[in-house]
Amino acid sequence: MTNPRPRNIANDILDAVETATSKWTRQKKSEERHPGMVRYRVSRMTKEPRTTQKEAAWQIMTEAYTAASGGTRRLPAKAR
Amino acid sequence: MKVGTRLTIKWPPNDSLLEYAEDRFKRLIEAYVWFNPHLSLRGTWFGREFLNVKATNSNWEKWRPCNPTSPHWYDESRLQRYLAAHVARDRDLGQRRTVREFIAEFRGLSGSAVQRKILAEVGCSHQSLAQFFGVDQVNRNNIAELLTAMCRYSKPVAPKHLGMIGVEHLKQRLLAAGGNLDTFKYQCRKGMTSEGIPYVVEVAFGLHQSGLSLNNATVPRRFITGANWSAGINNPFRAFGSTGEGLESTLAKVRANANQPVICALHLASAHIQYADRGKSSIILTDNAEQPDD
Repeated sequence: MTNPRPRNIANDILDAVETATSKWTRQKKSEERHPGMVRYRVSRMTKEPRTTQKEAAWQIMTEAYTAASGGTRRLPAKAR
Repeated sequence: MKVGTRLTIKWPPNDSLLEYAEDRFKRLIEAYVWFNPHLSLRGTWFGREFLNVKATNSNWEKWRPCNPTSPHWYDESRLQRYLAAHVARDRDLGQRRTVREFIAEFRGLSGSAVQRKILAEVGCSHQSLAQFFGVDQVNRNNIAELLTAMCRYSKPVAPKHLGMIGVEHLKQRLLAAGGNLDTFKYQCRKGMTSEGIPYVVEVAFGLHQSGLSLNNATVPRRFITGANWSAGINNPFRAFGSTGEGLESTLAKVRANANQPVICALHLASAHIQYADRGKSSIILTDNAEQPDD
């Protein structure tokens, strides 16, 4: 997704603030529309993100490389 | 105290003004810990300790005033003022500094080979700084040539070299302020202005623990702002460019206004920050910002 704002300090400040607060903003707007949504605040604000393929790969990367290189850890290892 | 600085302020007793300012004063002191991971700080108020924080990273580094400046951070008028200050100081101290010595102070220009090339290009070898600056009137053309040559022979400073507070330190501060770590968000933006000045914007956001309880007893917003590792007395991002709208209206739009149970820290590190007043309470950001929709 491209950022439509031109890059400068002011826009970067706004962009960072908006991104950091996005989950909270969404939750609060939903509470404004439907006050009962406040009961979902905890679950929505503290929900763990799903594990990505990259994160799963990194968890076993060292162990896998050690096993593949026969324990010597001297074989070349490149990203591709 | 073995290493560090101790600052004591004597104040007349029974002053209502001080009582009124107590909370703001304490928050200002505490804000310095947010922006300085290498800082251990202990604060006492009339003999009673209100703050005792240990550094989270005592080896943390930032760009310090003693580090060399980069020629890319100057335009012609700024370099002219910088030169004038050098000439005036040399005159006061009775010193004679050469242009080569002046060039050597800049980042990336300490090598004699590079200095020689610049001096040859500008045509000021063995010239004293005062002579180069101009005796009767300021030698603007030569100063402009010198700046161009210095920029050509040095690399711009990457924003990350200014020093970044980092996610781990801000996480710890949020936790200490009563925030909920599961709601913690960190954003960082690094960039260069159109004039080639590097900057780093860091934002930390999280909910106060009371904001997750369903009763209505919530604490008000905690908002910490600062620039170049110093905390602001007030929010220094009061206006962006010609729009007149500032950070406060942005926070209201993203539902993080003063009544909300949120903790928000914003820090700007930049090689050149213009302030609107001597107290450094307001930063001049000439760039227009595109505010979010309601």
